[in-house]
Amino acid sequence: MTDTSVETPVLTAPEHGENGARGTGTPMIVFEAVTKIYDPNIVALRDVSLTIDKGEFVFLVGPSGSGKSTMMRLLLKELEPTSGRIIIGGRELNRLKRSKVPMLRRNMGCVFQDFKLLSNRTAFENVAYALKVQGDSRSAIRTKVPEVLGLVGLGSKMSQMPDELSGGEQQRVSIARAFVNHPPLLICDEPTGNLDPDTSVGIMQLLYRINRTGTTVVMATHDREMVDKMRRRVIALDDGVVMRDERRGSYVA
Amino acid sequence: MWPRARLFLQEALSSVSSNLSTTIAATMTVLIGMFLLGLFIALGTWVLSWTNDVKRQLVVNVYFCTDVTCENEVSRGQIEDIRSKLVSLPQVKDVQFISSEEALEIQRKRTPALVDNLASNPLPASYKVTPHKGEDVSKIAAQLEPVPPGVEKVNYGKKEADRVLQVAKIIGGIVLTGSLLLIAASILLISNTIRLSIFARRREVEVMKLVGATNWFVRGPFMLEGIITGLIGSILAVILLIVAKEVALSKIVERDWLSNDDVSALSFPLIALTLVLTSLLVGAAGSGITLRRFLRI
Repeated sequence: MTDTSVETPVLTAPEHGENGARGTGTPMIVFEAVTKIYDPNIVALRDVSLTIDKGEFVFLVGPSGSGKSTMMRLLLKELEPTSGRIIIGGRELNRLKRSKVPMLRRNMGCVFQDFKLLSNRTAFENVAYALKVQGDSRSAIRTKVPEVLGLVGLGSKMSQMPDELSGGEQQRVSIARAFVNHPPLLICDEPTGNLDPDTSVGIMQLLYRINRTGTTVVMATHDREMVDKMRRRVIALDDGVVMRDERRGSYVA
Repeated sequence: MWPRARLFLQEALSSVSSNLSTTIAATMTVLIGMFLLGLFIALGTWVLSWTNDVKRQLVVNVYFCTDVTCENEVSRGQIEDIRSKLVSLPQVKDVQFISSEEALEIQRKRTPALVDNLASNPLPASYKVTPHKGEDVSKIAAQLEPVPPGVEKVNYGKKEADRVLQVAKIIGGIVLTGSLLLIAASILLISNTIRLSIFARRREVEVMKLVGATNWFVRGPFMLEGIITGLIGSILAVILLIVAKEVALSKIVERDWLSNDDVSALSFPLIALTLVLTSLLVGAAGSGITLRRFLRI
């Protein structure tokens, strides 16, 4: 490995276009026979193989403990698979050095059920942090952050602390943080899990709009109504096995 | 590198102000730890210096023969022989000749009544042999064993010397173990407080890592925060020590007893420097080490 170009993005930037939900045919995420076993003997994922194309919008459904979150954490390289290969944007995660993991994450937005905001920082600072970690200048931060917060509809609440915002607003901040770098891939782990149905619709619309800019969106969810309404690709997991993978699927078969 | 440093400083300062209560707690811990340590170092080095001074007063007295105590009075040649023998010994620092007249003068100063009634001077001439180290008095005395011709007796106050040396040894041991214990205790105390404050913020570290911060980007502000805490705490401790030194000490202890120039504590600026550097190091290292386990995400 003679990779000297540290600043090169791990993933390639999204093509801004109307290819939206259909996918472009080039793979963004590839799982090849991935198995994850937690100590001592809990099998979270069993021989999972799947491909998600660039620009796709994919729902990952299944009951609690079916392996959705494990897949998310594997994508973030928070965990290592016990066996098998994971490839994101042409990069094999197993071969990615630990020192390159921050680069990977900067090119991958992530949104969580519990928002994971920095509680002692304002909405603005939370979004700005994602830019600061990659060394953006203060002037770049001053233009990019209000822009993306305006995009998620929080232009007037930038200096609010997270606990002064509603759940839906906090999730919007976290989406703004995930999207501020315009990453080619957005990973959402039950982003509407803590929100009421009306708020969830707003969040979903936001994710949909992000997907329309060419960003691949992978979303783990329990929200049956939402999945059925959106009619996107659905990958159903149960007990660590892919039970179903449908182009225009629904929550239950 | 400069904008990065400024960013770290901003992050550290804003984190200090938004976690004010934990910062104050950590600063107070540093303050208490370093104040006690400083007090002990000052006291300890003062006691060591005092025992050294006492040890310096240990000498070997070589008393020469007079016609009363021996058969023959000591001769000039014998006195010179013994001087050259003593001077050649590596342990000997200084050899001072005290004639019988001088001895009488010294005695007169101490006990005038006793001396005034004397018909003649019974005191012998002697050498006062000062060793480099107080512990060497017995070795020097042993070199004059058996007693060479012209010498009546060799005396180094065996009993007193042994006791002084033993006490000095014990005091030295107490000071050493005491300061080691205190250093260990304050390091543990400070790093434990830092640990707790970082532990309370481990979720923050997790979020930072998931957003794509490198380990050093997370660590930098935390370590700087530890340094700031250490700096403020130790500076407060130094101020408190100055107050203690100037106000309390001068009132509690009688001045003239303390005014022995040969006895002094480690110089105050040196103590202050030790305290500040120790806290800086513990602050930075404590934060850095504690963070390690939370950074493995």
